[in-house]
Amino acid sequence: MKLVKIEPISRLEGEGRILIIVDDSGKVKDVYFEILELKGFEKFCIGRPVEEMPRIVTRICGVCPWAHHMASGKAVDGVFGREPTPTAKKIRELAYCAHQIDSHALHFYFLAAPDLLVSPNASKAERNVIYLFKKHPEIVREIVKHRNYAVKIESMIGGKSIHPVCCVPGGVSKPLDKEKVEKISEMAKELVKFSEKWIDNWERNIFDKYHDLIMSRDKYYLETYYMGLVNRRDNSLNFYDGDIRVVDTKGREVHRFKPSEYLNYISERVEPWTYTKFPYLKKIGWKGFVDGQDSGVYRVGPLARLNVIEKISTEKAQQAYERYLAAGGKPVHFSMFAHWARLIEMLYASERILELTQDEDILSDDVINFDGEYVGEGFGVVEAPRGILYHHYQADENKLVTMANMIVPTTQNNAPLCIDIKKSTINIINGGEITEAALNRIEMAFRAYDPCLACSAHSLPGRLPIKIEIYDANGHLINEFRRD
Amino acid sequence: MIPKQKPRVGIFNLSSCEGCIVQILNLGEKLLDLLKLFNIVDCRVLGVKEDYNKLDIAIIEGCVMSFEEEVKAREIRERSEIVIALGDCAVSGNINFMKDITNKPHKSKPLSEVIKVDHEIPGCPISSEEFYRVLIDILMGKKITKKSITVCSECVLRENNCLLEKGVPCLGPITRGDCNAICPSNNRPCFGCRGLADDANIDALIKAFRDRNIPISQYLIALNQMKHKGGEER
Repeated sequence: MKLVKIEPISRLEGEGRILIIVDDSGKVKDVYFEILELKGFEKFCIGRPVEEMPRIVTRICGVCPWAHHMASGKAVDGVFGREPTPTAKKIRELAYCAHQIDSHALHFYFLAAPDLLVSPNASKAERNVIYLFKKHPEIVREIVKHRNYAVKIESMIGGKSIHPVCCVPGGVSKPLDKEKVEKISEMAKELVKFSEKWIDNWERNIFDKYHDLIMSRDKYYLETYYMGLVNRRDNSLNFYDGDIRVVDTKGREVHRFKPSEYLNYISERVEPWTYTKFPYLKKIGWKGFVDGQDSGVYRVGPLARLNVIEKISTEKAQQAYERYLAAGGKPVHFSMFAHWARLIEMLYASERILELTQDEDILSDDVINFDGEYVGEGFGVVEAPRGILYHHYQADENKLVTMANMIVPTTQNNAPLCIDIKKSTINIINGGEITEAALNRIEMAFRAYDPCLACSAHSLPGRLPIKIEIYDANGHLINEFRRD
Repeated sequence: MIPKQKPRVGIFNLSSCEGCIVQILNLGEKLLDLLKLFNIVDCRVLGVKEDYNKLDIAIIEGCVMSFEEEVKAREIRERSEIVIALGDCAVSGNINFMKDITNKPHKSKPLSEVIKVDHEIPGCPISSEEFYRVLIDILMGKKITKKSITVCSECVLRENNCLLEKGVPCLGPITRGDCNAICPSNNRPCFGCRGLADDANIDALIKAFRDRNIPISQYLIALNQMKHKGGEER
């Protein structure tokens, strides 16, 4: 038996790698995707002032710092027993919508666009943003300009777009003024137009061009449960707040719970070959690395979000959502639909920002609630760009952290990712040679999930540096393949 | 003087959150201008990897956490004319250093402990404007200097209300500025992400904290003892 290792480079908390185990005839026997975990960070937080947590946890990841900032902010609200004021909630949601645009844009345009616009069969040197900029400067300039609108909105509210500082117990640190809100509103209008244009581009060009790949059932396809936040009132899309809803492989609601109840619904499987845990639905149970109605494996992220919701509250995104469902059914099990889902979410986020700028509350000075009794425990749940994110803290009477638990999206997607990669790998390299093209195909399974390897060792944006080592049964290195 | 050929630039990362590299992307259209002036030949985030031997400028994000990273840093140094340490992790070890502050010896090393670094861009994350400025200065052959202004001075210039006077433990008075005092301007105390200012007087800050009954954290005391450069000490 051979052991094929694909090792991406190390990150803040460790490293990630793929282990492919191949038998003597070259058939893929098992595939494991391994990422080292955030435990270091959770320990590191102990003994620190709990109100500083939102500023500390952003350092977990420079690509989605807002997700950690918001989840942490909400958990800290709970610790202090302070419900944020209505204005504070709206300011937070506005900034958070901008972050979804920022992060999705980074992934879709910088990573996926070169593949989709240049051609996935083009040579390595041609599939990157710089090459795209040489070929189509006007397209890249437009993308960069619009993504930076989102970055500007983030900075206006968070002080910095990366590692923001605005969330404080019971609200945000600073109110918004009229001038800023007007600027945000102008940028949101542009973002709505831009997002619509790309959805149109996807529907007319990209989807058709890659129809067979996207709609194939032998790879990039899993029937799993899905988990995500929904608006409490009407099960509509909400990134910032709501109930946690789980639907089954047929799209039926099976669980609905509050953030504080998460431990009743999620268990974590420990495997002997990795430090990483594999969360699964407690009430369904762990049945191994398999998909299907009997397996407690669930997915999170854009694909999952659009599967758990019943509608989108903004007009244009709702229309786009209906066209999406018409193409993929409901629930959508095709992993590659996640790219499409990202575009729809960017449109929703843009429309929602516009809506919030027109809300009278947004200009109020009442941004912090100082009332409330100190509880010492809090739960914060938001939809991070890559899926649902849990932060749970306990603190002592000196307001110092005694326990921190975080469940990040990539960890939750870990089991489905392993299954998806295994399925894809079996189809792609079975018995054959491991070629550059084969590696690209395996990488595509990754990209659909956009796994965050800094939030468990970030592989994105960019190409995955891959190292493969092939060993024979006796553990001797017989071949080496590397791509940085 | 503008060189005849576009300088070849490589952007690398060691142990970090990648936020500083995202800050480079956040330059937006200014980044596209940089692409006209520089030839980026190696950058994972942008998906670029060309064949090259020598680099004119190597930009390294992240601190050295393992032997492999040490080897990588040395390799980059050998083939590069100028090495820039990008962001706090590379400059001081930042959060990686705070994590193993009690380990002896430390597992995490700032870049300058492993290789010769020609210029440091501090901050968690870096300021994209500063990054832009440094690259243009290099291109123009100008001497690069770090501003010695403190966060506190910049905060005063922005006419903010003083957090320290309200009894909030703000590290603005000892922290290197040039960040436009973002945190205190957003009513949040500075926690020193840009490292110590050139003339930081930690003793005076500890006294100021005592006078206002602000608890003194063990990190501040440790910082005073070590005078260790940088880090988000609080």
